[in-house]
Amino acid sequence: MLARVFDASRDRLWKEWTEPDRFADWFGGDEAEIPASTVALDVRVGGMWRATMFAGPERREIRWTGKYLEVAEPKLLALTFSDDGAPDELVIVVLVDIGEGHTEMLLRQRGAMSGPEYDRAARGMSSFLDRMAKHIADD
Amino acid sequence: MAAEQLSVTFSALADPTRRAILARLKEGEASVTQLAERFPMTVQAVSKHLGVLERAGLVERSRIAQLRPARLRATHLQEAAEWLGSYAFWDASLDTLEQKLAERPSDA
Repeated sequence: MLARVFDASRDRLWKEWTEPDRFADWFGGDEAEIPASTVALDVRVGGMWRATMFAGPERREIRWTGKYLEVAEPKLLALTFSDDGAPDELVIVVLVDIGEGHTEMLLRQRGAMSGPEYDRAARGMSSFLDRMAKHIADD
Repeated sequence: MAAEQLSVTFSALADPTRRAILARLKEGEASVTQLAERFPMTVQAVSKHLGVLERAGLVERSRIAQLRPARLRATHLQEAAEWLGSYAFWDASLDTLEQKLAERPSDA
């Protein structure tokens, strides 16, 4: 489980996850580009989401799709992730108000990958959150 | 509970000697001399570590007895344990949530 404290409100972090422009900026981190025009987020229980990512210097195209399983603004979001037909990964995001304008984001991913793959995924997600934090600080 | 106190607590705990001193004090109060006998360091060095623990509120020293024995103060340690435990709490809560999501009939 990843845990990260942000100098931002829960509402602000909720927007990072649910507004296409913001999501496109941080998802994929510094190593990938997501054109905002490819992002569609239907944030409601049973709603689908998609985004097309161009990853790395070779701009490998990855088409992400998934579904929102639980939506409780601004506290909890559960969504599946899949790239190009791979089995679904479940990501649960919890936003905890820890006072003084700070929010702790807890993030857990579960699915069909192996231990080392999850370690890699966690490092990747952690770098995405670095970018989210930077993006928030620059605002 | 102030986040500040948690930082002070974990900072005080970030030293193996201080953790060993706390472990010793769990068994009961002890004077600086008694503690120094137990660790491969001078009375002054032990006294310095004890000072850090005291300022962090993890240890208190008697003002009355001549040897000023040190004893454990549990409150802040308890808070730190609760803070660490909250992650176990979240993990368990997310397990429950995951199970509920899996049981929910799919509408796709």
